[in-house]
Amino acid sequence: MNDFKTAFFIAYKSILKGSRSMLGLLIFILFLSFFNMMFISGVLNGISYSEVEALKSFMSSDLVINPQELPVHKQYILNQNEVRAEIASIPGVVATTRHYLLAGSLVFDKDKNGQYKSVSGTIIGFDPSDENKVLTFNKLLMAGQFLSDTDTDQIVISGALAGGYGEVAPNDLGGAKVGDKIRITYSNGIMRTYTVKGIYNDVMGIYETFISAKEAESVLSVYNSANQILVKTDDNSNTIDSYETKIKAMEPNLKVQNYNDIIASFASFLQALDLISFVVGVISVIVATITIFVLIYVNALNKKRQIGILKAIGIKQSIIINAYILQSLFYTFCGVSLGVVMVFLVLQPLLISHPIPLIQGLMNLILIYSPTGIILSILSFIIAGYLAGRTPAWLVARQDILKAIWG
Amino acid sequence: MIKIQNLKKTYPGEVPTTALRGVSFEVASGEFIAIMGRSGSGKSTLLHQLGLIDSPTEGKIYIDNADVTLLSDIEKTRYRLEYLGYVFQEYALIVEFTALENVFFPAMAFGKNEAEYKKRALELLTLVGLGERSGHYPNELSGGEQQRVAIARALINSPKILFADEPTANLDSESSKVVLDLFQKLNRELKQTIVMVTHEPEDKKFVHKVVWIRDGLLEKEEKTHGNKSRL
Repeated sequence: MNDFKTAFFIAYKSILKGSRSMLGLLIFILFLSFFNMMFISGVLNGISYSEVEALKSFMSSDLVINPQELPVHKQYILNQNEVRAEIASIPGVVATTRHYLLAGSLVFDKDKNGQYKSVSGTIIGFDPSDENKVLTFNKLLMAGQFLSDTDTDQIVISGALAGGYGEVAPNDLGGAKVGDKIRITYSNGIMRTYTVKGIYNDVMGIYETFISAKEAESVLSVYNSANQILVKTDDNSNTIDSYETKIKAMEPNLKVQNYNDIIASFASFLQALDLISFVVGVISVIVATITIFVLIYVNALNKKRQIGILKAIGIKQSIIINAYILQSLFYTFCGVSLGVVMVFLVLQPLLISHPIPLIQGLMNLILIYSPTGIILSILSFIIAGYLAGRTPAWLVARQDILKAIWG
Repeated sequence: MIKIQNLKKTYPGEVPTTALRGVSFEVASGEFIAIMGRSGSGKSTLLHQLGLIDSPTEGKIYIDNADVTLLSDIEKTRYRLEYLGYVFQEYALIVEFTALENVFFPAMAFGKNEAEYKKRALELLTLVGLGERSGHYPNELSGGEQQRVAIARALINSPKILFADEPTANLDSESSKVVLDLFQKLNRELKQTIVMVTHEPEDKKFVHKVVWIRDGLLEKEEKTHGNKSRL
């Protein structure tokens, strides 16, 4: 304890009487390194979060229930009204919707001259009033209107499939507009003609065509069934895993997936963001370590003679090294504190008051940190500060007393 | 008090350098001795061995009948703090500490009571004539004043022996006399054992005995009559 007090006294006096400009520079560099690490990781986490939220909002919702796969694969979830009512009774379940998934090809003759363009794709049938409670797809509409429950002869298509809306798809219909007639040939051979009621912005890379569930049932000759049931839950009431478990208990024959399974195709993108965040973090810590190391080393070399004298009068080497470690930790503490203030008290409120739009304005950029991430970032800087203070001090302090004093 | 037997020191290297070739003498308790000799004779090397800041290649050093050459590095560090005091050629003060802090710092490292060591440090600064300047930093003191602060620091833990390595080498004659008078006063009044390396012949008048070193060997021990204090 007394050794610590002695080391603290040396460190305190060295900081107090040391060069103010050097102190400021060191703390400023550490602040920049820490801020850089926090800012980049916060932005990348925010982008990841926004992407996942957008996918949940426009595509997968929280849970997706599929028909029975084992022991016998079934095409439909039967009695979907009853199944959904049962699921809706689980506390925290906000809403459900059903999807029919059909395959077909869309054909359009823009100039009515027999020059048809056709596109194959998935056609989804849903109940629009239910759909709007679960997904916010209607927000992507850029022309016309969304479907209503009673629509049987109208469709909504993506801008990329329609063509001429700026988005690029492998094939398009050559420029279909709201009000144009499009013929769909379903995979079961049924052929019907629809009027384009709405065109949506496929910013999320979703190129499906939508019809009402009523129309889908007519095409498929089924009733009260579904290929998928999407479930929206309240994240604050329960965890997604808990909802999944409860639904599986209720419907053991159905296949239940949560949004993480559904968005697995985006996993590599999200992993890439994580990797970038990690690399930036490591570089920031290395920059901080080298900065502290160099400045402490130069400082210790300049005080080599003083260190030798301290040793000569009987001051333990460990006290001298600890004094440098404490100085280094002080610089780190100041740099990290400034970084924390800048991120959490300046930048985050600034992004809330002046949002930066993401995904064509569907989401705003936010900085996201997990408590573990924050603790790890601070801890990594503290460890860096400790090592970068200890190593150069040890290199100088271990020198022979006579060499240290007289060179 | 100090007994040196056949002390040898060779510095290793491509061409090993022998600084001490077998020196033996004794220092009595309360004695003030000067180690003198030409430049390169080995006098500073001898002081470093006696002060335990270097280790001899061969030979024994007994302080109060204990063989201090057998101490480990950690034990030597503690021994230096507890029993030995040092005054170096240059004013080896810590620039970030005030005069008072420089003086009490070894006592703080020793683990003594804070109120006591601060009181004692102020007494010592007063003893060396700098009681009024305890709050000054080294760069606010003259060379002679800094050296007196260094002497006060060397005394803070009441050392058995005070070692001084050419303590007046960088001082003007007036400051040198103040420092040497101070050593003599400490020796007379506190019975402080002092071993001082010097190259100034006139310093003989302050000491009881001069140990002359030449080419790493003891040339002679010369009793002086300058210092009238009784041993």
